Amino acid sequence: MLRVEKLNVYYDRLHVLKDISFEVKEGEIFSIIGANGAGKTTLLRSIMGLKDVADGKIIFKGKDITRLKAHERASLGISLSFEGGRILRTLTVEENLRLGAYRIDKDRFEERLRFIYKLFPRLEERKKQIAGSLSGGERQMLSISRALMTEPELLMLDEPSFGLAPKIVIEIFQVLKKLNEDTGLTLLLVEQNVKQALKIAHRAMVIEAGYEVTRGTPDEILTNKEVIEAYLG
Amino acid sequence: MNYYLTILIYMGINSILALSLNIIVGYAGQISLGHAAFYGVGAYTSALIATKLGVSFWVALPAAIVMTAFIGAILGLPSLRVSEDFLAITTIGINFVVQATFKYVKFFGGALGVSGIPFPSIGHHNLSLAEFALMTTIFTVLAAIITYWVSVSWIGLGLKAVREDELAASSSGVNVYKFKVLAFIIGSALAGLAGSLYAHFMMFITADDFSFPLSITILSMIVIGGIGTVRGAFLGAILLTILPELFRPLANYRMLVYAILLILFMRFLPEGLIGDESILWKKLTRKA
Repeated sequence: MLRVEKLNVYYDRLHVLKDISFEVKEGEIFSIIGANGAGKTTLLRSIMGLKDVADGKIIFKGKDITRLKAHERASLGISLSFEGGRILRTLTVEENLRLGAYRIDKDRFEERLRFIYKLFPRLEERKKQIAGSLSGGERQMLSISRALMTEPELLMLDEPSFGLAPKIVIEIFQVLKKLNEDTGLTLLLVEQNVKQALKIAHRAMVIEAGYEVTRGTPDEILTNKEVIEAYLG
Repeated sequence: MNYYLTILIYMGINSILALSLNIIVGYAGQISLGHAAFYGVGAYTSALIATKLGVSFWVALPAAIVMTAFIGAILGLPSLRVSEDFLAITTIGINFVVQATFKYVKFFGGALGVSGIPFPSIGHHNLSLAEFALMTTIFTVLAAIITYWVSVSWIGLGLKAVREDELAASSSGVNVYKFKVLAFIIGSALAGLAGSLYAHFMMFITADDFSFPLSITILSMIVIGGIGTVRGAFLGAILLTILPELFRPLANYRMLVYAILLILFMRFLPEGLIGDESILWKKLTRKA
């Protein structure tokens, strides 16, 4: 579904991503694991079209999207839930969701909204509230929901566990797993929380300082010596 | 009586200006310190085609709106490229360039401005001052309905998303460029309406009527009233039209007073008097 070929990305002269290549297959959960500053967020932003790519290719559903703008990629079926949520704090919960549904028509919007509220009933209770008044966990739920409103085929998640209590992290990851199993939605998950990320992933890749370290199934990664030393202590 | 009607007309024109700037600054979050330029483009377009082509106010008015919307789209383009603080400086620059063009290019009447602009008439009947005031009020209400409709529609949601977080907006499928330019088009079109009304009311305009201090005055209106709301733009426009009349001795210090008010409001009451999050508005809506 998504193929990234020899991606190189810079911030000014800082070389952030170095020859990163991988493929996410339809219906799978692919996790990218790495420490702070490894380039995970930059990778997702490059795929979304929010960061210019110096060199390399991004292919989505067989189409080269490397030079497309973010909103064009969104309408092709790519969606991103940002680290920390980046919800629109002065708007209500439902307005945030409406924004996600920007390009779909009204009937499907209502249908999509019911789907979201089933996934996260807490958002329905708070739909008229200003998003800035939500708790950290609810913000993360709203962020994922907004990304889901665009009816994506590929949902990218940037650190959905960031800053959240362990209990809520487990709840959110259960929803993500269920989403993948029930609807076949393809997920590209970026995480520092290695254990949670590997628990739901089908395959994963470890990156460090912009380089790929290793890749494989969660079991293979969990038995990899280098990874154990670096992340699992 | 004529005095009060004149104040009413100014109130209407200023309200339209505040509403129009509110779309650009309040909804879309694109700081503009040169709104008087668009007002001027509307006034000059209306004045020039009425005097040079001899058409009536009813033809000049829509032409002024279309022309100002078009110029607004072009001058709004910098907002796509530059960051917030540079946009503020760029729009100041636009104001000075537009004013200087009107002042020094002969086609626009030069330093003498444009005179002999016809007062609106219907058939052979010249509108009375009261009729002009009524017409201005109707246009003001229309402008309010349009901006309200924009704020609650998909367009408003897109504009607010661009204001709050461009990255989040664009990854939700919102074309950020399109909405920024759209804000300048709608805002400028309404400023063009105000400019046309002004030109045909005064019957004589000069470039200095559309100078930078006026841009600051319009911005003060929406900041004081409550940025991003229709009622706030109205309140600010009405207050800043009436106050200078009540405090005539202070007229020479008007800009000083506005500047101080602007700073005080932005520092201590950024939501304005009756903005959505202001203390006063929260109290009013809680009781209702």
